[in-house]
Amino acid sequence: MRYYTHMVGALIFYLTLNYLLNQVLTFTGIFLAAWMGLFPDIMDRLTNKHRGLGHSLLWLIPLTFTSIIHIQFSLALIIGFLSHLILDVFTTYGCPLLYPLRKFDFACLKRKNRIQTGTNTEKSVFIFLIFLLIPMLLMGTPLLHLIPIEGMATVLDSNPDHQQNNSSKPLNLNLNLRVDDAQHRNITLKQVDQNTVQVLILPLDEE
Amino acid sequence: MNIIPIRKLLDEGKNVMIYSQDVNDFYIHLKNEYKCINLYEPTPTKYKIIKCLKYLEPSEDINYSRLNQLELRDKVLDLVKNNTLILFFNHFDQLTFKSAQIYHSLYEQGGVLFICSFNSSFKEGAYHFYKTFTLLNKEEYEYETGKNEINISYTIYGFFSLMAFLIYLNASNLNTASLILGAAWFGLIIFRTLVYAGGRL
Repeated sequence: MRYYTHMVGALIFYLTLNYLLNQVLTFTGIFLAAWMGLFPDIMDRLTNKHRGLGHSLLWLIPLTFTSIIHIQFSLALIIGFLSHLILDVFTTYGCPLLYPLRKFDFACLKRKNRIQTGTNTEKSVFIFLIFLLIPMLLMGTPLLHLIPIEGMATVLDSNPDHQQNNSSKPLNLNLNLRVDDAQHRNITLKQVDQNTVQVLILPLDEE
Repeated sequence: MNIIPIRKLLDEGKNVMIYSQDVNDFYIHLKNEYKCINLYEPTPTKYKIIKCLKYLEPSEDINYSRLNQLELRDKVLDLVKNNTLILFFNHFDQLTFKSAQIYHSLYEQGGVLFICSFNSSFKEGAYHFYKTFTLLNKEEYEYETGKNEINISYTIYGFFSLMAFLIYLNASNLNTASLILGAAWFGLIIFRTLVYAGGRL
């Protein structure tokens, strides 16, 4: 598939997994996922063999090691890379996932139903993915707040995250208080099954 | 176009098969070195064997049409004797069981070799004859036809279904029982849609 389809595919996979794992969406993560969506083709360009080493699952080994440095960025890299392989599996000639250990291709669908690179079928897949990506980006990022249209608040309220905040359900909170002699007091608010929120309480005279 | 491996195979007395190429290109290169006949297509068999006979015995007064295919075959073998005759034709896939038998016996009796090409699957009856060939561009054939690939459609369908299941679970606000039921239903719908769109294997 062409680079633009891979980029969009990588972003969709990244946003989906980000949503499932309740991770904080960062611009760096988005950039890394999109870039990694092109990585196999770049590698193949360098090795001068299309659908060769760059399209191998062996790359997951060094990519997993990047989690030592930063787990969230590592996740973006892995998802971006895997998205490329998943999309290529749908193409006419498949993808050599075990290259160079095994040179045969892994493919999906019947041969006549597969997507040929650069054809109108691929373009239609790209457009479909774009239509999928736009609402995902709007809902998953603060981009929606930038659109100056009345009634967007209603759209926001339909978001399950916002509904939870406005609902009358009691919130389950674990409060860990650490009171020490220092001037600043740290309070950790941890909602069950949600992200931890750090609250810094300052003495009245400093406000 | 690499003629060297073809020459080597012919010298070893082996038939040569080429996937999806015109054998006429090879005929042009080899016609001065060997005794070659380009038949273009393998059928009708009788007409093609008569064409061979006319090449081997170019006298106009002989009428071959009264002879049957086996008699014509024997005549070709008599004329070839210890020499090597190379027959070229495309569309190996057009061979029937009977015509394949005639050509196969020409090869087995010695003296006649074949350089053929095919571009689609051929009949079961021709397989015994096909086994006498060496496929020259095997890698290209496997790449183009996907004979050597592994289909992981159901794994991919399952993966997308699981994703749909998890997204549904994450997005829903219902109680647990209906939530899991609905999520499983949603996941199965995605699986079924993919099977429908991608086709059963």
